Amino acid sequence: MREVVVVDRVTKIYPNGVKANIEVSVRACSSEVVCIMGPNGAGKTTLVRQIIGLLKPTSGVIRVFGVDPVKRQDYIKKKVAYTPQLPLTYPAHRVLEVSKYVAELSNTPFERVKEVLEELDLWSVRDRLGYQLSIGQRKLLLLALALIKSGDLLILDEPTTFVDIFKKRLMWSVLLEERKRGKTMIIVSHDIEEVRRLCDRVYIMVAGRIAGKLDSLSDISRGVEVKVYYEKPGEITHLFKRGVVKVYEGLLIAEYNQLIEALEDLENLAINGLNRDIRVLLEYPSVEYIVESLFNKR
Amino acid sequence: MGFSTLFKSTIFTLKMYRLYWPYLLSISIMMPITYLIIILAISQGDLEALRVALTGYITITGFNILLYMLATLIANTFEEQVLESYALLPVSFWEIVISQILAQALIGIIPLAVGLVVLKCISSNINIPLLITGLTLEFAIYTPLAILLGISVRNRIRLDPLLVFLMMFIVIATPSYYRLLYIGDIYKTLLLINPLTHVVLVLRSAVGVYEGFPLVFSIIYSILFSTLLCVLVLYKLRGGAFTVLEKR
Repeated sequence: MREVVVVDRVTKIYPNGVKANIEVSVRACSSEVVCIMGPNGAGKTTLVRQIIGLLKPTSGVIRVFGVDPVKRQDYIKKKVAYTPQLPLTYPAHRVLEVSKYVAELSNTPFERVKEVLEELDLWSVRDRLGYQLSIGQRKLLLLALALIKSGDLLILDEPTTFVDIFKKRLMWSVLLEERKRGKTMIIVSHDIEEVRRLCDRVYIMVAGRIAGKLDSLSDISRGVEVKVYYEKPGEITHLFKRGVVKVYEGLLIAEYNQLIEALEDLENLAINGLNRDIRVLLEYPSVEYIVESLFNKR
Repeated sequence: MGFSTLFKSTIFTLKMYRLYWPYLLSISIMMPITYLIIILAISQGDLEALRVALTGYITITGFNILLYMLATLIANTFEEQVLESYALLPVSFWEIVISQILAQALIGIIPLAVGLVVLKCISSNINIPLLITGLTLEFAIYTPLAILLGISVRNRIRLDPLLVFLMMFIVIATPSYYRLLYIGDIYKTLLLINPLTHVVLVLRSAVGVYEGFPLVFSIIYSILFSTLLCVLVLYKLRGGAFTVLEKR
């Protein structure tokens, strides 16, 4: 597979001395969906801005489609579609106006504009001005513009942040379609579910560095947490045999390596403990949990 | 840089003002008309005084539209997140800036035309090439200055008081509404440092009002100042948008 994005030992130090990226190396091959995860302030957005040529690395090399994105902005703008993190759109422009403007400049036919807006449930609000859109709709519009503009590489900086679960699913289904079409994507995300659904490979960034690289999604499929809120958690610990159990006041937390193990214990709880006043939450691990696990492994 | 892209981007920029129409109306129509009414009232039929004031009107209107509004627009565009959102668009960085200049120039046509029509009505003889030279020099000074201010401040809220201060400074430090000829030598020398003074002098010469200063010097000084501003802009944007974003 052809390497589309090569980030080789990139360090980015801002003029004020902030080290945003330290010796970061990331690769994305054609038709691959690569995810960059990490806590806030880890340097993900700085990395992405360097990949699209908005920032220049202090040291190291970045090549996108074989060219330096800072020096070849014109080429990068043609080849890369990008959605920024914040839902800033054009407040005084109608959804259709902005979409048509981007389409005309990118030589995208109007049929495609309509198709994308319909897919993302924006056709019904096409005459609304940007400031009249909800935050979720603004994020959808940013994605729509990236899809209308098209390009061989799609870079999405937290595409589903601020978006409700229904719109998230809509976005995921559209992105899965793009994936099927062989589009190369780099997605910055905090959402484990999103990563599971969309990504082939995951880089985890912490404090400006790549803390870990997961080539297989099974690595992040591990780790499911069950939280049981109950007055006397000590009485039900024996029901959670397959997990690592921690007991707090009014709360039991059981950690599992696999979802199936958690489900088996929950089945056990359902049989033996449902007559009790119990509230159960099953959670995928947070980014922080994954980061912690990676560090513990080391 | 394609004309079609520039045209579409200019229209796109102009459409932005549909939401800020009171701002547009007040700066590009109400303010110039207010100036004009005051000028007409104060001159009391004295045609020379009117010509003097109208050349000042053209300079100050240029400030409002080409400097105040354009600098605000550029500052907004260069705010980190806004500039990032422009990265999505298939237009080059310079196409964005030039389309914004064109949009502002189009906005400025109405108040400028009003001023020129009044000027034509009260002037028996206008030196058109000189008038065009004066207007071009005005454009050539305000535009790079607006870009420079916009990309240096990169925040319209922080820029606004600076522009208000600059406005007051220019009203005083440019002989827009008074004659250079009748002021003291020290003050005159100070005023001649200001390139806008020379723009006013060129415009006045075009309508037959002379301030006793060599016109060629005024034109050369204005061109040199404008060139210096352009060089500074090009230096600041030498590597594209990132050279601005880098400065956190």
